[in-house]
Amino acid sequence: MRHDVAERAVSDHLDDALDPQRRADLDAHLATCARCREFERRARRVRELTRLQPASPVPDLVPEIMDRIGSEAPTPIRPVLPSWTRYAAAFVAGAVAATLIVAGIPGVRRGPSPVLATEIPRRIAAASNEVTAYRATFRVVERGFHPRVPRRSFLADVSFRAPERFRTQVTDLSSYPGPGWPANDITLTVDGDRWLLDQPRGCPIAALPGCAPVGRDVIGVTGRPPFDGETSLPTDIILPVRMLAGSDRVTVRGVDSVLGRDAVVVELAYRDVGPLFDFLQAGGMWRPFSPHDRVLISLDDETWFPLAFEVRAAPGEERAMWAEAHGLADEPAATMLFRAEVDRLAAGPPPGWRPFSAGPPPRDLGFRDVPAGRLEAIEPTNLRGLRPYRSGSFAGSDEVVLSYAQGLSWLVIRETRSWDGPGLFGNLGDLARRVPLPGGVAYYEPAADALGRRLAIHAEGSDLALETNLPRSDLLAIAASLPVTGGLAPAGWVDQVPVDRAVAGTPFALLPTDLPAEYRPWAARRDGPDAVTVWFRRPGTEPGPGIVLYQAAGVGLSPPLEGEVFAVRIRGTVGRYSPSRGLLEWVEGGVYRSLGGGALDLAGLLDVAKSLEPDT
Amino acid sequence: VYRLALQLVRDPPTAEDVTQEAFIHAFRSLRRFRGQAKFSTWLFRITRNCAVDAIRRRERLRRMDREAVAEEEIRPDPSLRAALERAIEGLPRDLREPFVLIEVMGLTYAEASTILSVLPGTLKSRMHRARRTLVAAIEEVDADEA
Repeated sequence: MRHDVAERAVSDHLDDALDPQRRADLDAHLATCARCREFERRARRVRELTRLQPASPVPDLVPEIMDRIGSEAPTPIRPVLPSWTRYAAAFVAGAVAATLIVAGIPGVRRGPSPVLATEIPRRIAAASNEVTAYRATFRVVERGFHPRVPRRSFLADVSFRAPERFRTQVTDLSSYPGPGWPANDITLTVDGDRWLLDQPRGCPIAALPGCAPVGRDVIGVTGRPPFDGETSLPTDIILPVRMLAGSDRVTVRGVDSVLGRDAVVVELAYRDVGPLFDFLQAGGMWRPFSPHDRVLISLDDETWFPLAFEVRAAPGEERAMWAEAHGLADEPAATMLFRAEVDRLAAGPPPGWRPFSAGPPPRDLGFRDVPAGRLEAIEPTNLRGLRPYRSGSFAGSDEVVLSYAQGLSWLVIRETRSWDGPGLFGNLGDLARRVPLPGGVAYYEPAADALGRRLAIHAEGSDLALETNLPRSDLLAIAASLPVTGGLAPAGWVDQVPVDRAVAGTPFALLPTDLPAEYRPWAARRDGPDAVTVWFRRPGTEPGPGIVLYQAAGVGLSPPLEGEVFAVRIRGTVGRYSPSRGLLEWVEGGVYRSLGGGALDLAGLLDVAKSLEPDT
Repeated sequence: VYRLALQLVRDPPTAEDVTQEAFIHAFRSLRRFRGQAKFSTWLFRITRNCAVDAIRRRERLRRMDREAVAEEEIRPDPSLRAALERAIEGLPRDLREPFVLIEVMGLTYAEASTILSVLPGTLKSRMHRARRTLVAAIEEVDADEA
């Protein structure tokens, strides 16, 4: 083989465009030709330099594009939020959580003292049935929003009447440098089938070039199904049911007193407080927080409502790099970044309270209330203390919906008789796992993001999907009382298989021999003949996927997707780590491997990576 | 889209303009998208066309305004990565486009072929020529450092 032909073959080989015969010829040539081996080495170096460098930051162009498109066409149904807004929106929940106040709470009994870490989740679950009305105001302080606005303050007022009447109003009390900085005033209103969000549009155009002009966005919805995940109520802000009631324990840091009430202080990482902070992702502008920042929540030790919570900067170099990548000033470990605290308690709204005021023409989600007696629906006999709430169906669909509620607890059962796959009915995803039910099986998935705990049942003639914020044991008990027998899902509907079966016949796949405490293999999936994904979770902790290990033979490092990746040495090679995605990636012996999932920081991921060995 | 635009035009403000133009064109042309290629491939093709237009406009402006050349007189960064960046920037467009799409963006030959309207065999040849040029560029740095 001539040198120029060999170099061309090297190039094709790098792009997976070389047929087996030419590959064999190339290998034979490279074995004897130092010059072409050097060309191959340098060509790979070019690739490495291209792909290991951080990707350039992407400016937020959405407002400009949407403005131009908006001048040419009718307004899109749902506004697209710029990334800055999305970041920031994570903190609306913070402000709102800050606004929760405890009033008109029917008798939640006092627990024993000292409170045990393992008892708090159980007591929160028990309290959730008894909360029927609230009114509260919180004072909120946020630091580090922008160099020109280092401190902002808010008043947040929340009113709630079970099951689904809710209004929160965030009033911005901050001083801004000029009129180009919009006040972060936010109102969210929900009343059963109606949902309305009024928030500032864009961000401070004076400080952030990608921002849209100052204005307001008002999004309205009608025909809303009960406990709809996309237009959700931030009930974890009132009582952290989803965040903590499914946990097996919490870390107790001590006691506190807020507004004269005794409180227990629990500590979590920011990544684990999603339901508290993320439930109102729809609006407003707030500073970002690192997934590893520490969140201290003072829970009223009678009612278990969050009376105060604060975010403090996590320690370590990784946190510093994250801050730099987000354009934030240096924030030493334990710096207070955010605090919300009860300021005033009042009586909860009366039973006839209607939170709604007039809004713009709403978007119709298509759900129509129909009394349960007029629906041919399969109903459970064991409701775990819940009572029938709304029921109905969607126009043009055979899907019927029953819902049940009591206080802050809720359950939705959807049923269809025309489901033909290709996956399970309901919003089940990567972590779905088969569980036994009396006489049959169902498929369970833990809570994640805005979704509750979910269970899918594939029965003869009908498919059911259950979703709830109740603990898993209650969900299974309710499902067991349904007059159906769940069968195995048809082939191809469920991708997950036991871990040993997933890695069988994949000599390239390694498994960790040293996992952090309490982590266990949860599920696995074969992604074709040459790729496998394994999930590891702490079974008693939700939400979040835990640790995710993905391995694929014959795959190189893809181009970086975000700006703040950096190179790390791992298992004798150079890989890369993305703090924002919590993802560690490397290529080892022709196999691409990645470790992520959000549960661990870089040091934790490196420990797991070091322990990877072939499955024996 | 922005990253592709930036790799092609090598100038952040122009890349922002190209990104906006690409999305506006895509929005206007959405009805003409028939699903024969992946949506991303179709969008990349529009982006590439907008980038070509932007480069032409920029080159026209530079010819009109010779002072702009002074901007280019920046002391070169001697590092290997910087040398590679300069070498990519110096590639002629018919080599830089396939290199950016395939090596930097990670697209397949089939996808790049659709975007650039160039046969896959021709693309392979251009990729090889691009690589040869870039390998030579980093060889020079290695030699200087040695």
